[in-house]
Amino acid sequence: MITEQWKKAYQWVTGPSAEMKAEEICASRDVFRARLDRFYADLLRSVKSEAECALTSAMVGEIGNNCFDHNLGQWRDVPGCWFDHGVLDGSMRWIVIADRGQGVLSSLQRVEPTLKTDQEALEVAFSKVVSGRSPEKRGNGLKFVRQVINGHASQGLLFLSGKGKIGFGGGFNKAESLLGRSPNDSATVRGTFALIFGGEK
Amino acid sequence: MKIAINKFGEILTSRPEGREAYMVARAYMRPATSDEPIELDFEGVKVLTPSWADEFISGLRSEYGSRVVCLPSSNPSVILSLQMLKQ
Repeated sequence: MITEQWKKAYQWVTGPSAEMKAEEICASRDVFRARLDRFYADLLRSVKSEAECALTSAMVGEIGNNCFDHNLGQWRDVPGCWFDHGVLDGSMRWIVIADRGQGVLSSLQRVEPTLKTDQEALEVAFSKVVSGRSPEKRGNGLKFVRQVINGHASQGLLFLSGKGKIGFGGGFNKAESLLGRSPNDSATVRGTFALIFGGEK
Repeated sequence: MKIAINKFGEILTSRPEGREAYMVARAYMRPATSDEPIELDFEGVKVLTPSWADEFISGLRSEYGSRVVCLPSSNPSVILSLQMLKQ
């Protein structure tokens, strides 16, 4: 069952320590970049819509590059990001991107010290133009992702960091269930975990 | 002066790549006069993110201001990324 691949990534990002050998791990930005190029080509063969491929690949690029932008020198143990994708039940496209970095709260607390919880940090990250990389003027990436998801009724996003959870689009409760999590799951994501699902095959 | 963005690649996603592209443009693509517009042509670009666009376009605008103009594109990732930069 393909959701086992989701669970494999989820276990990698929630475990107290992680193996470095999984083939899904992009140990450097260059490796991620090469796999993103291949992802675009594979997706275009599948969905045959350049517009859909452009937006989906841009979302993946933003989330995957965030792993490196915010965690260089900050990895808990394994450097890099987990990047895997496929099609569930012959119709639902899915993409998983995860990292064992500092997480959203730790990153944003540098510039928003009043943030206290992972949940607050996620809500700020997806709604305000703010970035842990201050004083650099950044912080549009996750707002871009949110706009793309909300502009496509068939797509959804489940994003986890620490004990925080945020979701957009339809069906993210079902995606969470397929992942093996309950809505009030107390597992801690040691970094970030993003699951994009839906859209055309 | 027109800059063909696809000469920097067709899939443009990361900040380091955008920054590097800006540095190259700054060095080698200089307008002939002090009032010549700098037109950014996204024809042939398959994927653009706000991060790449921010590094490249904000860099050029810091030097050339409103002379930097983005030409219309039909690619939705280009359209949405450029909209994000305006916010």
